[in-house]
Amino acid sequence: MIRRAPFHCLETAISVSLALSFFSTRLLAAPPTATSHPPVLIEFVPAVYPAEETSRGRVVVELGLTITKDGRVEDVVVVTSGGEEFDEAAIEAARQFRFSPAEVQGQPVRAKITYRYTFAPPAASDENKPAAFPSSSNETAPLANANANANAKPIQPATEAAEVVVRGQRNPPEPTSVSVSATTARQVAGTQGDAAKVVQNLPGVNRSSLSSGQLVVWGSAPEETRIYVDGVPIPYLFHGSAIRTSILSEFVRSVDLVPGGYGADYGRGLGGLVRIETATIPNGWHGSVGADTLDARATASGEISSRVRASAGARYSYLDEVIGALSDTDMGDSVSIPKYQDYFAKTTLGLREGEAMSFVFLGARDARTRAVLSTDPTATRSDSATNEFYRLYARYSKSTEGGVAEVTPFVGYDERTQDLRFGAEPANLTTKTWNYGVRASYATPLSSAIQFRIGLDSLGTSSGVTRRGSFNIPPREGDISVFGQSPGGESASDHYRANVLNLAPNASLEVRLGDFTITPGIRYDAYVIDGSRKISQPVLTPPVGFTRLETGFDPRLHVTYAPRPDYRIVAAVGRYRQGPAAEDLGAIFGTTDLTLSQATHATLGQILQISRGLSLQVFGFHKSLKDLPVRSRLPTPRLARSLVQDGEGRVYGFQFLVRQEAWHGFSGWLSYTLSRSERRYYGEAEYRLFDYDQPHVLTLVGLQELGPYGLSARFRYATGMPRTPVVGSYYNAAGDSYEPIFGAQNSIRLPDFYQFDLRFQRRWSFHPVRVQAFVEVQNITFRKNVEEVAYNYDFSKRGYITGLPTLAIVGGSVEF
Amino acid sequence: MRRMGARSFALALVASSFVTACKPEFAERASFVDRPRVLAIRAEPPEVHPGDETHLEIFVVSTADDAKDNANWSLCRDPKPPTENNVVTDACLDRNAPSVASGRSAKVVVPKDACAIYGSEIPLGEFRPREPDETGGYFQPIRADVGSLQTVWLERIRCAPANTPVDVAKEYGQRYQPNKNPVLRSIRATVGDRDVSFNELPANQDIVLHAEWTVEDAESYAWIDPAALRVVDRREAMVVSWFSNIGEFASDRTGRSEGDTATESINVLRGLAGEKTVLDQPFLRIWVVLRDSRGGSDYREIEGRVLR
Repeated sequence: MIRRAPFHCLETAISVSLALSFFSTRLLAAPPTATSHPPVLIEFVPAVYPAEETSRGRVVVELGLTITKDGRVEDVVVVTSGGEEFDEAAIEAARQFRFSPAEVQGQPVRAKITYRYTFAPPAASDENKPAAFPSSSNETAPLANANANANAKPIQPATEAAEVVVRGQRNPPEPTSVSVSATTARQVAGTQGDAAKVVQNLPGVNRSSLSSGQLVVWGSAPEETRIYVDGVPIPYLFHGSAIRTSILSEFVRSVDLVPGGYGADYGRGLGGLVRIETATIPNGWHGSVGADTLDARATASGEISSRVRASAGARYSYLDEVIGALSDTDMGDSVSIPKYQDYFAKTTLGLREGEAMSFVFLGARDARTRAVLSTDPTATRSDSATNEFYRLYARYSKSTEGGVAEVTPFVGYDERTQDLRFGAEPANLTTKTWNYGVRASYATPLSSAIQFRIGLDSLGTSSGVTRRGSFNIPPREGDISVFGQSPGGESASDHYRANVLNLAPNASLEVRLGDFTITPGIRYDAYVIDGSRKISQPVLTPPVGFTRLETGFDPRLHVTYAPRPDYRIVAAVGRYRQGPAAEDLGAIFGTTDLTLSQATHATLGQILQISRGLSLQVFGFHKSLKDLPVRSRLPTPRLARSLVQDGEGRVYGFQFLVRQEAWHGFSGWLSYTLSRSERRYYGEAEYRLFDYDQPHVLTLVGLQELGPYGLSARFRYATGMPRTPVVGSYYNAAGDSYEPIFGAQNSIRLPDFYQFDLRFQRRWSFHPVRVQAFVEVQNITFRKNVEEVAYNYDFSKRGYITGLPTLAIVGGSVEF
Repeated sequence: MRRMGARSFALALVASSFVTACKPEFAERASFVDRPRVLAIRAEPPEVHPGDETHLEIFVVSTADDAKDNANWSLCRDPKPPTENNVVTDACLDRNAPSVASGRSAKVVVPKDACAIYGSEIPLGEFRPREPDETGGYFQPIRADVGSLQTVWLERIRCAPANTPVDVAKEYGQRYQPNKNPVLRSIRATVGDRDVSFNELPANQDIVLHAEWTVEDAESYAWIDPAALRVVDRREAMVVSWFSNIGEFASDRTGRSEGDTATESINVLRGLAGEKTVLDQPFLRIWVVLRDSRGGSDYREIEGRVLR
C-alpha cells in the first residue's frame, strides 16, 4: 500500500514561499532597471510532505533554480537542506515548475533564483490554507511587479520576503554532462548507498573489471579521466578493490559526469570529468551513524553561530576484522580485503551579502594486502598497496552587480605505494606527491546576449618517486601478457623527484543569438616540467636535472540550438592536453623528455524533453588522441627513453540516455553506449583494439519510492574486453615455466557481462530520529560473469576467472 | 553445529565480495608427465664469460628413446624489447635460426658480444644497457628444439656491472664467485617415520619424498643492491621441481627461499593406487630437478615399483 501524504497547496496549506536571494543581485544584461523582470512562476507543482516525517513539523528547503530563457527549470540544487526526504520532494516538485523567463530590456534571459520551500505537516496545513499558493497550476504568481534589484515581495501569498535576482552565472553545464543528485544516487542498486559510485552507471562509462575501479570514459584510459571535488582535483575516486568511493555520501550533493567536450575551464586530461559537489550544511543540528557489511560511519553538522556552520564525518572499514574474527584460518592472506578510512570536514562562513566562504578538508586512505603462499619460493606471491590523499581547500565566492567571482585555493598530499613480489622478484612503486593550486573564475555579462568568463586553473605537483623491480610491472595499456604471468627478467631501481606546474588561464564567451547559444573558449596550458635526473646513469655522469616549458592553446566551442523549449541540438568540439605522469618521468623506467599528449573531442547530439522529467539525450562522439606515451619498441631503447610518445588513438561512437526524473516516486534511466576505441603506434598501418574497448554498454536503473519503502533495480550489460590469445608456448628450462606465444593483439574478447541487482530499503521516523535499513542483493541471477582469462601451466587449456557470486549486503543508519 | 553454520554463512556473506575471482581448476598438473616433455637443461658450467664454451645437456622424458637425441641447438641473437614480457623475444623462436649443435648434449660457445646484446655493455650510440635480473645476472638465450618441443635455456654470462661506482664494481669483481651447479645428493622416500625403498612403495599411503643437497650447494654470492649501490651477500634460493608418471604430488614445486638454510625439500606423492599411469610404462617413474636461483641445476630420474 502506498502511504503518501499528498500536498496540495491550498488544501493542505503547506506554506510555500519564494525567497529569491540566492547568489547575487544582477540582471544579465545591465544594471537592473524598470525594464528588468525576474522570472515569474506560472506553473506550480506541489511537493509531497514525506509521510514518515510528519513529526518533524515545519521544514524549510532552499533550492537554487536555474531557469532557462524559455522558462524551464534547467537545474535544481539544494542550497539549504531540510533533510534527505524533504530535499528530494522539493527537487521533484521544482523540476516541474514553469516560469515566465526573466527579462532584461525586453529580452528573455537565463536566471538563477533561490526558491524557499516551507513544508508544514498536513495536520497544521489547514490553518495556512489561505496563505498558500494558488491551487491551480495555471494560476500565475504575481511576480511581475517585483523589482529586480530591491527587496521586493514578489509573491503575494508568500509569508516571507523575497528578493528576485538575475545575475552573472557560473559556468553552465556542458552539453554532454549528466548529473545525478546524491539523494537519487544513494538509492541506486549496486552502489551500496555510495553516491559517487553511481558514475559507473552513466552513459559513456565502460564497465570496468571487478575490483579495479577504473573509469574508462568514452574509450579513454583510466588515467586520462579527472576527478574533482568542488573543483579540486583528487587522484582517485575508488578505494582499492573498488568497493567504496573515497567520498562520504552524506557530504555529496551531486555527481556529475562529463564524458568529453567540456569547456575551457577544465583540462589536464584527455578523457572525461567526474565532478562531485559537496553538500550544503543544513539548518539546525544533525547527526547520523550508519553501518553495513562493509564499514561504519558517523557524521555531525550544526549551526555554531548565525554565521558559522560546520559538518564533519568519518568512515571506517572493518571487514578485515570481521573476517578475522569469523575465520579460523588467516583468510586475509589469500584474499584481498581492503581496509579504508575516509574523513570529511566542512565549515561555511556567512559573510557579507553576496559573499560565501567555506573550508573543506577531506582525506581518504586504503590499504590492502594479499599473499599467496607456496612451498615453492618462486611461486609465492604478495601484493600490498596503500593509497591515500588529503585535500584542504577554501572556496570563496562573491556576487556583485558586476558579476560572480569564485576562488578555490587548495593544498594536498597523495601517497601511493604498491609492493608486489613474485617469488624473490620485487616490483615496488612509491609515489609521494604534494599538490597545490588554485581554481578561480569571474563571470560577468557584457551585454544582454553575451556573458564573459575568465578563469585560472592551476595545479602544481611535487613528487618523489621510488621504483624498483621489473620493467613490466605495473603493466601499461598495450602490454601483451596473460593473467598471472611473472614479470620479465630485467630488474632495476630508480629514485627521483619530478615537479610539474600547470598554469592554465582560460576564457570563454557565451553568446546568445536567437535560438543559438554559442560558447567559444580558449585555454592556454603552460606546463613547467622539472626533474631531478635527466639520464639514467647517475654514477657515470653528473646528476643533471632538467626543466622545460611545454605550452599550447586549446580552443573549445559549444553550440546549442534550441528551436523549441523542449528541444535542443548541441555540439561541442575542443582540444585537450595532458601532462606526463610523475611515474613516467624517470630516466630508467620512463622517459624524461615526455611532453604533452593531446586529444580532440567532437560531439553532436540532441536533447529532447519528452514530458515533465522525462528526457532523451542522443550524442555521437569522436575523439582522436596523439602523442600518447607508450613503451619503446626498440630492442635496445635509447638512454632514458624507455617510453616514447609514439602512440595515437581514435574513439568513436554514440550514446543515448532516456531519463525519468522524479515522477510519482519513480526515477531511473536507460543508457546505452556504442563505441569503438583503438590505438596504434605511429607508422603502423592498422589500429588495434584498445585494452578497455567495450562496443556495447547498457545500463538500466530504476528506483521506486512507495511511502517509506524504496525499491531499486539495476541491470547492466557490457561487451567483454579484448584480450590477446595464446596460440602456443615454449618451455623455459631455466625457470621451469612455460612462456606463452601470443596471437594477434587484442583479437579475442572476454564473454559478455550482464548482471541484475536489487536494493530494498525502509525508513522509519521517530521524531526527531529517522531510521533507515536496506538490503542489497547483487547478481541475483547467479550469472558467472567472466573477469579474466586464465591458462593451465603450459597454456594448452584456457579457462575463465569468474566474478562475484550472488551477494547480499545489509546495512542501516540512524539520523536526527 | 548451529553456531558453526551461522558463522560459516556470515563468513561467506562478508567474504564473498572480496574473493575477487573464482579461478578455473585445470585438471592438468605440471608435475604429471603424460606425454613427451622437456624437464630441464643442465649447463656445465652454468655461468661463463662471453666467448667461453658451455656444455649443455637436455633432460627429455619420452617414450621414444631416440627423441632424447634429437635436440637441435641454436643461439638467440635478438634482444627483447620492453614491449615483450616473456623471457626471450618472439624473434628468438624463429624456426629458421641457424643450428649450432645437435644431440642430447652439446657444446655451445657463448658469443663474444653477448654482453652487448644481453648484458650491461652499452651499445654504440645513446642506447641503454640491459638491466640484470634480480640476482644480478645477465643471460644468453639458447634454444633447444626436440621435435615440436621448443625450449629455451638462459645461460648466465659474466658482464661487468652497469651504472656502478668504480669502487663498488671493483669490490663486486673481487667478491663475486661464478655460479656452480647444485647437486642432488639424495632422494629419499618415507612413509610415516620410516624410510621405504622406491621398489616397495605402498599404493594406498602417502609417500613423502625428500630431496637433499648440501649447504654448499645453496651458494652465497655477491650482489649489488641497485638502490643502495653497495655490494651485499645473498644466498641462493633452491627450487625442486617434481614429476611423476603415476600419482599426484601435493605441490608441483617445493623449495627453500634465500633466508631458509635447510638443505632438504619435501613433497608428498599420493594416489599411486589409482589408474593414473601413462607412457605405457609399468613402473613408477619420478623425476626431480633441483635449481638454484642463479641458473644452476641438477636432475635425477628414479624408477620405482608400487605395491598393489
